[in-house]
Amino acid sequence: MKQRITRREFLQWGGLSVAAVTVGGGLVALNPFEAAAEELLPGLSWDKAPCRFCGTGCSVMVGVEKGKVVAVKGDPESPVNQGALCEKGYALPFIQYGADRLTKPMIRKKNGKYDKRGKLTEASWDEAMSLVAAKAKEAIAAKGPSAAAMFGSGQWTIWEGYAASKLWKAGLRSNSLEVNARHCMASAVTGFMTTFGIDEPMGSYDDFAHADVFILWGANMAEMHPILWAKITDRLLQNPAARLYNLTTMSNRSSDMAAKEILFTPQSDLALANGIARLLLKKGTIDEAFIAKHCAFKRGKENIGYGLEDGFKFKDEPAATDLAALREFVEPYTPARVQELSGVAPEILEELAAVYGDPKTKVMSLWCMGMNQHTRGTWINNLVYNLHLLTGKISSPGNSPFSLTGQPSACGTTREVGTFTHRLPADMVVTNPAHRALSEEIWGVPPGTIPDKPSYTAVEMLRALDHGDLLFFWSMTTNPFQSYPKLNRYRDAALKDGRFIVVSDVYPNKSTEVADVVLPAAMWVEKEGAFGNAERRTQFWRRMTDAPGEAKSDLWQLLEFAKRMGHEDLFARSFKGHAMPAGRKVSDASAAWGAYVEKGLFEEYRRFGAGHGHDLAPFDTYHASRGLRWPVIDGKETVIRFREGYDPYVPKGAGVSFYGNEASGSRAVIWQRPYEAPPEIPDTEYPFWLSTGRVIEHWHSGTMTRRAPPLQNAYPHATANLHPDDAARLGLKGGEKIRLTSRRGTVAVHAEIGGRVTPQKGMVYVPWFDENVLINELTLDAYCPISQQADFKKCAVRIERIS
Amino acid sequence: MNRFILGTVVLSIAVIASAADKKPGKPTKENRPGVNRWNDQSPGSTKPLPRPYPGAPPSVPHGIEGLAITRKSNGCIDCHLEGTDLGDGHVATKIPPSHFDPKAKEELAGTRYQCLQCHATVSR
Repeated sequence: MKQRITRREFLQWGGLSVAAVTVGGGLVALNPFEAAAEELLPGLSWDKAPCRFCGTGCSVMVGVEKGKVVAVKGDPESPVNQGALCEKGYALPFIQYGADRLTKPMIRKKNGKYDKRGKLTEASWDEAMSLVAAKAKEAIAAKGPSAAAMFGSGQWTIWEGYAASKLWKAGLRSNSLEVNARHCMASAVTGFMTTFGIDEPMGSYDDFAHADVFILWGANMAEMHPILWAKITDRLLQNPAARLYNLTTMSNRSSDMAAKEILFTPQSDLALANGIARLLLKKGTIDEAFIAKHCAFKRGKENIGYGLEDGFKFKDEPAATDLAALREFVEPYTPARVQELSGVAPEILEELAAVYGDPKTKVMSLWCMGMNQHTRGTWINNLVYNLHLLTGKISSPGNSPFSLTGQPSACGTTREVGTFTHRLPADMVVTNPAHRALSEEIWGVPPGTIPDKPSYTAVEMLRALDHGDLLFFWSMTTNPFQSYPKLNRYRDAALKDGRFIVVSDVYPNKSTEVADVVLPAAMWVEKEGAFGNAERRTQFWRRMTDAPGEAKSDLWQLLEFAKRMGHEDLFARSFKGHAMPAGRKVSDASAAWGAYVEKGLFEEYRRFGAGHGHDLAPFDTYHASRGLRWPVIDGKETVIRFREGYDPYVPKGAGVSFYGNEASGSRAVIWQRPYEAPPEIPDTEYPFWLSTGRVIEHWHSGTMTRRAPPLQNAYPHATANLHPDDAARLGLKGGEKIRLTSRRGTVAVHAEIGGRVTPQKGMVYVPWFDENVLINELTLDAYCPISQQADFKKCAVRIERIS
Repeated sequence: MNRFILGTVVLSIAVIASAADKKPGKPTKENRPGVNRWNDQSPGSTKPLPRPYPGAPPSVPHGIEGLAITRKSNGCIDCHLEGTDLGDGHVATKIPPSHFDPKAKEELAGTRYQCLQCHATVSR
């Protein structure tokens, strides 16, 4: 096979004809480079898989040669990406093959025996799993079932999350199951549940082709969701009247396509949304008939705290109100008052209100971490839904409040399977007796098996580890000891005597550093998998390659652990009647159990959602499709929920039905939620805001992308982006090394001035992918009391030059 | 896979040992995972890597400062649309037909307009 394309060949491709295919709504060009890839790489086998990175859920064609992934191309048949990929997608052939891939289990040992202060030493799977099971039993015996915790992620496959949920909740009788999605999507979930009574967006990516105005509420989509950004770009270029507003706390690449970049003071999005609502009500540009028919009004508690105290508890007390009460409630949010809080000029607020209020303008609001990683994350989600509900701009093509996601299966696994301490599959919760009873029935366990109280949410989980109430902590497919806020405290907690840390991962990272046992994991196409993306699309892939060395999938590991904890039967009965598929590679888990375990688990799992708004198609349907958006009824996916003609759950003649709130009249809730200040605000000692996030090249903690040369070469290390005026005041030049210090930690980092991100004055932005710049040693572990999601976007730091 | 191990990023087996041999304790520079040791090259100062496999988008071999992509102008297109001869021995790579709207072949497809979403930069 040819190793490199010559310039001559490259030019020759210019002469290839363009093949066009019709996908979804639009015509797209097949990339002749991609077509040529098949010609230039003869003998490769190609199969589809969703991308391993973000929540967009692009489909890629994976080219395998001699058992290794050697090329990828955008899947032209995918309605999500229509043959395109971003630079991370194109780097997928590197992620499995970093030279330091973990291939053998390791146990921390001294003199041949497990020792917390020993060295990580290679061990057999049998020895490692025996120790893991023994330590889990020890923890449960000492402090009860909640003392043994599993911490997974939105990168688990659907059946991995499902197996973990079943094992913990029905097997170990423990609710100590959490996921990194708590740091990522929890406020989105509580936003959906409090407003609509059912999780996940009502719209879909189809809305991009219909919207007239896009309003970004603190989401830099140009870098974080490039393929969706391409859809927005396409719409803006084709429709001169279409426009985009970038509401943000920093100038970024998304501003380049914006009609207006609107910089606001951190946390003041709450005031902006209430200010817009006030103007809509004042001007009467609301849809009164829609409100009367489909909405209810509520208010909750105020001054709700920030979760900074260990063991913080909060319970909202919603009370019914009405439209008149809402008018009164938003009255203080005058343009002048909003400007005071946000820095946004009154005429800009008027312009935004005019956009939301014009019945002829179709509006998509889009957000991700800016609104979710927020000490009032649930509130700001509620408040943006308010704008769409007040104007009736929801659940119709192009009118779509859209909560984006950051992980490939944040929706499919963590939210839909419900791998949180308080959740069960299909939006059910452990605190509801009927939900527990249904789950116990499907799982075939006696009534009363599932504990009726949640134990720990993510931040509280590591606080409990610190206190010693939690003794066993197993992380899978995530890097908590780089990604938690206030990292120093929680890293120190992991190193305390008596705490047992298991880390299943693919490369050494900050979490394997503090692990007592390291388990090498199989990843992506080394196993059979399923992810669910941000538009409710469930996508499957088959195993294509072998994992290196002795690496095993998380599913194999979970099932092996189940056996050793005495719960073999809990799973064996799920697999009954599901014979292994003939004539192709099966997963390590299926091989170990002599059954098609993925199918067995999925067919059992989909019983939870059938008949109440979460219907999934049969297992085999997904392998034969480019994904389907749930609810899937009679083989048909649902593009828009809550709207008659699109969603079969809407009763005939209703037009619209927010049936997630069926018990209270199928109405969506318009909430009264005030502006409240964040817990830590810059002062004379720590005069700068610190915001953290990502860059286009790197994903999360960089475990994969930093081993992909094209990405690592493009962005070798994290930088601290500053406003030029602040840099001038501090006498700093770009590239100089500076020290950032908060009340919790300190880190050295290169300054970047005038780069692709320029924060507003008085703010510094640092991406968190770089393990050499552990920015989370500085962040604050304050969280939204309702979602318990931490705020990684706001804390106070000072900046010093390192001479 | 050796053909994909390219250039400047040092990937070393020694990493496992360095991560594995340390006692638990306050992390120091030494016991951090070694694969991506501090690299003083800032974004924008590295050299472009060759195309890793057929079909992968080539990286941008030059700086991009001042070449913003907006609704009204696209700094990349100025040279790359026609494959402009820059007169200094360089000819800008011509944008391939795949990037053009099949309905209006003169127009770059809207979904291909954001050049930097696929083409990795060596510049900030």
